[in-house]
Amino acid sequence: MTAVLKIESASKSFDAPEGGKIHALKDVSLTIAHNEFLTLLGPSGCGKTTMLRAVSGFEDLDAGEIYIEGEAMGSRPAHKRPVNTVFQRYALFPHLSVARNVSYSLEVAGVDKAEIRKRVGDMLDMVGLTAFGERRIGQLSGGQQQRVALARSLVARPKVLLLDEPLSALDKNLRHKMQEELKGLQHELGITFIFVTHDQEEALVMSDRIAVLEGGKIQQLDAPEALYRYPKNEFVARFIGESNLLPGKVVATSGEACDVQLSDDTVLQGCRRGDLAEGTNVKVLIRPESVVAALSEGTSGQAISGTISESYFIGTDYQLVVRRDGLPPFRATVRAHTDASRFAAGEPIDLFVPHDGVHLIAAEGAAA
Amino acid sequence: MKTRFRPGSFFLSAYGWLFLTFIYVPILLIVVFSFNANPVNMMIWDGFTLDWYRTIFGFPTTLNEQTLYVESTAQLYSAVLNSLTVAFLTTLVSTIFGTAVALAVARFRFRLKSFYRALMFMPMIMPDIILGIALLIFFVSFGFSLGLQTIVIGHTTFLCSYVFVVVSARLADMDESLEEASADLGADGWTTFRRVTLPMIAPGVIGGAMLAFIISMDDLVITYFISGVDSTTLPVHIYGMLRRGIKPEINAIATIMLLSSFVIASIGLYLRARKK
Repeated sequence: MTAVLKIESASKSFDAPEGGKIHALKDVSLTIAHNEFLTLLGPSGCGKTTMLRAVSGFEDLDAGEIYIEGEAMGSRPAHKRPVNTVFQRYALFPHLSVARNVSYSLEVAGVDKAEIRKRVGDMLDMVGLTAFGERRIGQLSGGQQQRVALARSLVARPKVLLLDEPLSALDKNLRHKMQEELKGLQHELGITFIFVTHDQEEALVMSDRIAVLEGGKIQQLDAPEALYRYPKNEFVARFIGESNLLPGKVVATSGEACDVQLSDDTVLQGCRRGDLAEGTNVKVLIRPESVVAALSEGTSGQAISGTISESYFIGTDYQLVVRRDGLPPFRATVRAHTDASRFAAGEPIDLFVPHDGVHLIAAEGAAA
Repeated sequence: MKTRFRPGSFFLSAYGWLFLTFIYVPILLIVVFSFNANPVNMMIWDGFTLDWYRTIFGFPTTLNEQTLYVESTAQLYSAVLNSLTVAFLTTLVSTIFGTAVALAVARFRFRLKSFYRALMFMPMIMPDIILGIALLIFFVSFGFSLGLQTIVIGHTTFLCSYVFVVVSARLADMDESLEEASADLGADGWTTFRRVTLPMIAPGVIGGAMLAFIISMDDLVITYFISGVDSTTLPVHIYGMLRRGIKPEINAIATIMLLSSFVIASIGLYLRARKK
């Protein structure tokens, strides 16, 4: 895999309206491969949109450099960069027809008429809007507008397509459908997609890799599953999926494994050690859905016992909040069994945590 | 549903009618009197005639010589021509300037921007008579000879503001990301302006231009100060005629001006409604 886009130590800050500086990007480096679907994920204000705008040429970096296919972009203006953008609210031209919207970049580049007609036709076919070429933008639904925006930014065959929360304006069903279509389109065209979103589910479904941003820094860059299972820090653990983060300490190590003592003195044995040393303060990540109410045969794990304080039936599962002295409230999602009375609020319960359901994160500020 | 008589709503609608009456009846009277055949006292209806219109267009009339007031139609025509020339040139220049300033204020960040914006509003709230005197002093002290050129310059100075205000309103409604989208798709600044910004703000630009045209055609006070001897515009000419008494031809001229303004304003409103 060769790099199509390389961001090197990019920094950017803005003047805050109340004085001082907002650091939108702090020394961020990132390399993106050909035909990769990379998502920039983070809460609003994390720097993801700034990063996108720096790539598209709408923001100049204070420091650092952006290379597209090895070429330094410097302060090259947006209209000379080989990238195209799908804007958050599409930014379609309301005074032009659908076909003229799609053909815009080709017309501007002076492509000849016959070629334009052919490529616009092909693009409209691809996004399923063949019959809509002569319509005005105002006559289209949100989903159709979304497709026009896609067609418009793909028709010039950019090296990289930037997508700025393009699905956030759609309703939930349409969003799922467009997620699949986008992924399919990217696969078909072999174009690198950089997708910005604050919706972690969307990021997990679509991406080859996800860069989680917070405070102008990449907190973690990984494949979706690795990000979910092995978050590197508390922010990522909390931001992606539901999580229980229990304070603990590594009390014994042996090879790849270690034992962790939780704040209520329960000891979880045989956790994946990583590079944690004995005596390190850690946060123990246990996803609510990796907890089971009963161990099936052949699996092993530790029990945490407590009392159910809240219980919600959500169809296939029960969502429980379990309390135990010395531990923060603990969330668990367990299969709804026939003996549902077990999961009523106020009942005592033993929850089992399989060994592979435990992930340790070095506590912030602690020596690794 | 039956409606009961309610004093509140009665007075409200009476008030509404009265309000409209005061605004429109005087205008309606001018139109009516322009068709009144009575040459001596136009307040007394003496039958329908088109003679006053014939007079101003120089057609033969049934009126005898004493009742003719328009000294020469040539003067009237030259005033109309002057007014149209001034209005046309002024509209052209102030539309370009006003739009350019509106774009600069809306799209760029620069020092003293809000001061600049306030400056653009000033000519609109400045009393005409002061603007007129100020312009006169300026022209005289810088050695301009008064004539159509000074009227065009004078009108342009304050009509830029009107165009600026109308175009600014339109720009405020326009989604800036459209311009970014255009740049993103490879269009340079000029292409973006030509293909995206201008079509989007066109209704505002046309509206501003029409407003400028009407105001320029209509202006008396400022023009009165800065017009030369041979450069009389229509309002100044009418004012001159009025000083020798209100004459029926004036009603006819007024009615034609009214109709033209109405047509221009209607086209403007129609274009705006269609684009929205």
